Amino acid sequence: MISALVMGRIARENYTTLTPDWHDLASDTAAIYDAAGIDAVASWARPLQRRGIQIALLENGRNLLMSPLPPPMEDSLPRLMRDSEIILHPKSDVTLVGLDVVSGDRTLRFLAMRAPPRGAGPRFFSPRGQLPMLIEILVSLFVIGVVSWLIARSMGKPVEQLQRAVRRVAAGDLSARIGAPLAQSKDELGQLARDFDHMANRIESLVERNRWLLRDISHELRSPLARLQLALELGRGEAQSTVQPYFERASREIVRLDELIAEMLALSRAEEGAAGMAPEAVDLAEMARDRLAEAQIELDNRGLKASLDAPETAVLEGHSVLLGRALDNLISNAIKFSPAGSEIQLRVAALAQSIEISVEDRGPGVPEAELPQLFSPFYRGSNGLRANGQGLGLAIVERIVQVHGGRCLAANREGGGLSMTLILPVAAKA
Amino acid sequence: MRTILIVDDDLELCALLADYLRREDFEVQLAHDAETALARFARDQHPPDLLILDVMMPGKDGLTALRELRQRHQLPVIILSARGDPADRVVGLELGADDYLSKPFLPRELLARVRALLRRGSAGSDEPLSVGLLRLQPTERRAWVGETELKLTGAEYSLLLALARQAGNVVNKASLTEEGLGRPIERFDRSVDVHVSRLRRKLSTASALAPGIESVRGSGYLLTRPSA
Repeated sequence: MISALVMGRIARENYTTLTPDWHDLASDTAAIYDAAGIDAVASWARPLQRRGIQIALLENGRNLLMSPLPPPMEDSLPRLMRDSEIILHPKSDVTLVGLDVVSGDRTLRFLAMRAPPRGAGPRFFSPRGQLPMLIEILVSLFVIGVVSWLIARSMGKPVEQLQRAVRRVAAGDLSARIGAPLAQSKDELGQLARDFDHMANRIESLVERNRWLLRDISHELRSPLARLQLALELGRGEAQSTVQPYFERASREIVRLDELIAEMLALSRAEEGAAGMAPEAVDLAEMARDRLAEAQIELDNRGLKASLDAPETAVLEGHSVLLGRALDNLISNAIKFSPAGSEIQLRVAALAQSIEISVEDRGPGVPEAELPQLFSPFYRGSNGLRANGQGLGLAIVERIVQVHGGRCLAANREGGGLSMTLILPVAAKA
Repeated sequence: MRTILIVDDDLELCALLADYLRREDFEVQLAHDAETALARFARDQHPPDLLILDVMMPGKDGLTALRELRQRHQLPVIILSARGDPADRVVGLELGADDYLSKPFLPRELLARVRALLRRGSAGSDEPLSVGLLRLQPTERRAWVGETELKLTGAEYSLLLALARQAGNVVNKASLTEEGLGRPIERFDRSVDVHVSRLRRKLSTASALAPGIESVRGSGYLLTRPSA
């Protein structure tokens, strides 16, 4: 459409700018006829036609070119033949020319007509100025604008719908689908919508299966442990006192194995992230107060003190079960490594974009070189020998913090002890 | 001799557990699915003194069975679960279980909890007690709000009694666990909280004027004395 307008413009431009010399044109035509015959004249006429000029060559009133004369020429034929040289303007933009030309020993009548190219209406044509061109540009721009707006609108709505579904899945709602009518449409966006729905189905079933698998593994591993524990206890009742310590030891190992299973399941749950769970508002200040209160019994047993420095509220978007677990693990670690009578310091700080939680103890700390590996699964530092944990606690913490888009920092404190800091963004990770 | 019914689809575990408890002078009955166990309750004139119930069983699961059982029986129930899902514990207690153990458990620990639940109520004064509209009759282990009798599980009754004895004062969670569940509190032990929330609901359903239970963060619960 646009190119048609532009081409029409160019054709009319040519028409207005090139005014041929009719005498030259007539003698050229005659010379061609003389040298190469009427067929050559026909091929010579074709490019002229594209410039809006039609020619004819008559001998004794008979048209040598076999094509019929164009109507304006036909209509004015008697007048065109009257003088040896005549120029007529039947309309303002049409020029008719009649000339006698000599070709060899014959005298031929050369006729020519110049009119605007077909398709370009005379209304648009004006040789006078640039104003119509400006209008045409404005019209073109307007048409371009309307067409683009229509295209953008027809794409924009489905894209927005796709975007909403993608965001819902990213936010944990695995049941989000695009569905009809977009997923039924035949174009590329419809295809994309179907692909998205297919992908969402697959993710949802994988997550679901993974969750079941975790439960089943737990069940299948723990049932035999429960039987083993009972069998040991029964055996122990019959056993002599000299073997009692071995029974005791075996029983303890079962407990450790069970803890290890629990930790690995917890890690796996954290790795799975919060898939399928929508984030909720979690008040970390309140959580810190609760968890510290929970730990009070253990603190008392170990003869430890604890202090909490937290604002009234510190709310972020997250998963309270996972964050509670992370905080528990940090507090447990601090208790485990603290010497009797020392103090554990818990701090919650609400910053503009993030919330920082730190747990600091007066334990032995960790050699600087080992700090980076502290969060690796099953890693036990040279200082960690007396810890009877499974080496997964901090790996779980790190994984949970990553799921929330945050990070963990571990540092040795001045004056001894370890400081663990979690930096969590306030807004849920998209 | 006290009778314990064990309901678990794990036959070998049942056999081992029965051996263990019999050695401790309990009479032990076994059922391997929930339907059989419920049928036994419907049929027997003398229900067992205590129920040990597995959560994950083919057919009707333990939690569903517990819900049905609680409509008619208030005997002490200990839930066993191998799923290790913290939600199981809360749901189990919500449905009226008295205690919860996850597999694998230390047999001595199970024994201690069984004994604690069976012994419960025998201690303390037997004098009738009242706080506002609430009346407790320790000899019969029954409680009323006004004229409405409360349907309480063993653990709920014991907790209510412990709170009523010190009405108006905060009772900490450790001693509530000791008195209500007959065992020491553990770290991250939310059992008391679950029982208390059930108890609150039952009190307020019985009457809007019944004494309420307030929680005091980090320390415990208190039964409010009516101001009038």
